[in-house]
Amino acid sequence: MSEWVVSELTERRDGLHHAPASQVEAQQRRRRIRRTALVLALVAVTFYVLFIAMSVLGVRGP
Amino acid sequence: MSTVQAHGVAGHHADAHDHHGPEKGWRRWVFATNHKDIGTMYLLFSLAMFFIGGLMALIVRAELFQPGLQLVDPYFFNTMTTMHALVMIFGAVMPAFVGLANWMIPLQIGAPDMALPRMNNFSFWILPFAFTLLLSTLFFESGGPAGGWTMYPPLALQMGETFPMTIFAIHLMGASSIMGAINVIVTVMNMRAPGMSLLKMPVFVWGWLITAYLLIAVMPVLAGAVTMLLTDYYFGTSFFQAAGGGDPVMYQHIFWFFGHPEVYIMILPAFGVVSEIIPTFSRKRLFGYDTMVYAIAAIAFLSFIVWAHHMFTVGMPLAGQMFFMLSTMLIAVPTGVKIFNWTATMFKGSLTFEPPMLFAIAFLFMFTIGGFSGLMLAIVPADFQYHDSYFVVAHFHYVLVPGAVFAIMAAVYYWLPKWTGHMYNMKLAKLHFWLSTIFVNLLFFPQHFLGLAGMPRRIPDYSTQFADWNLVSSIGAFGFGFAQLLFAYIVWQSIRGGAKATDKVWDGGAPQGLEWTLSSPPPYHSFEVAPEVK
Repeated sequence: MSEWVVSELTERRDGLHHAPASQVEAQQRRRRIRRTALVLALVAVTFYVLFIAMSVLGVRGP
Repeated sequence: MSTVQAHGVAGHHADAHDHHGPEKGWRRWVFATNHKDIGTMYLLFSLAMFFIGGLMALIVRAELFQPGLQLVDPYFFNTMTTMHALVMIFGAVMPAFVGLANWMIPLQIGAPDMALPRMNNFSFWILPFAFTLLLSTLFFESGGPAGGWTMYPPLALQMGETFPMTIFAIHLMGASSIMGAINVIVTVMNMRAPGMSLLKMPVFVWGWLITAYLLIAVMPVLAGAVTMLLTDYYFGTSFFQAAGGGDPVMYQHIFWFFGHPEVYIMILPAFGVVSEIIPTFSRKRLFGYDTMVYAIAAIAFLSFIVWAHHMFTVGMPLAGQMFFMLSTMLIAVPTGVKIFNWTATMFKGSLTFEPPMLFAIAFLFMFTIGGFSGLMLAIVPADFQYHDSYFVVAHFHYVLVPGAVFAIMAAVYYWLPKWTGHMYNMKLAKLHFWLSTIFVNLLFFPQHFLGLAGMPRRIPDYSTQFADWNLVSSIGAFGFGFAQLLFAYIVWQSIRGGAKATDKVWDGGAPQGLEWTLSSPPPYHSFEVAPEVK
């Protein structure tokens, strides 16, 4: 984390207008944030599907 | 060099947006992406839900004031107990902690905002719709949901036309929580100030980081459970219907796999709050910082392997009973570490008793009472006696009211001057504390006696032998409820004006953390230059 500086944040309409130290760093940072968020969302969806799937297997049928 | 590149990346809007403040009027709130604005909306929403849920509790306690049916019919009574729980858990306590997270996490880790500000806006604005949907069921001809917040089948499958509304509302609340949790994790993992390693983070941030992982793991499980209820109801599946080969007990297993970690979702951020406040007013550093963090992580882990202690009475193999009893008791170890560390922090400290500290100390005592009654409930043969009695009601209310809710109040009293820039009325806040503490004990402590004497929960009428303690409990409820109007008044007063708060706010104390390096109130865009953490 120590390489990171606040000014890397890219412009947002909400006013987070800190200029990135470089274009590459800004992109890396955006990618890192998106990647973390996507992985976490995937984990959530997996848990949802997993528990329904386990229940399907658990039902014996009439 | 970097400036030139910055404009290239930031685009031509960057100049126009430099140092602008908030938008004017309703647009500021509806299109809010600033963490402070969203935090404020969460906290105000939570306060509103706290009063709505509180009103429902007062209807319950008014009915239970004396034996016999007085004010409401039994179905409406059940609706009130169900709605009170849903509103307080998903509408009051959880959003309050998300509000605190929104306000404080960026300030405490030295970040300018949350990592995903638009998703932050979305996750907040889902909530008013979810609760409008849920509360609107009260006006249905069939009445609102009345099967308890756990929505056990087959009872829940008899809910009638409120059923899909309730399920959809719960899905929305879950989606909101998951988005909030993703935002917290992404922010903490990617936006800490230079030099702030994980073990330099404030304990509040740690509490929330671990809570966020819990949320991502268990909210989808709740969503899965209620989805299956929905398909059982509308699409002829038999997940939980014995007639079709399904198993109602399976629902209980799935629900409590969510439900028990949910308890810790409501208490781990509270641990974080108390860990911030006690050192400040003890004028000492937190005793055993590392062990505090490991204890939170240990509690979070254990919360996944104790769920069946909520359902010992459904019948399970002896090995299962033993496992869930012992794993539940094991939680006392990391919790004990935390209680010990807070006490050790105060030991030989130069204590003062400002309102946040009063609430934190009350938390310490009364959460421990809730913890001990939890240990009693963990013992299988004893649980067969206590199950579904008022003892359980007393237990979880001690954990959630003088536990989670007191921690929220402590947090508000601690950080309110930082947020508004004004000190609040200390005398009134102390009065609020004493009224709350006295009445909350009057409200919940007698419920232990009622439960041990055999009074079942979720009943609108009871045997005359329970009359005295129910009367005391109801007096406590009304006293506690009215005392909270004082809280709303104190907050409102501080927003309106008052003595100017200094940057450090608690000058006599020893507040630590990056939030105290900012002005009170902090600028709309804080930490435009990254702070260096040594």
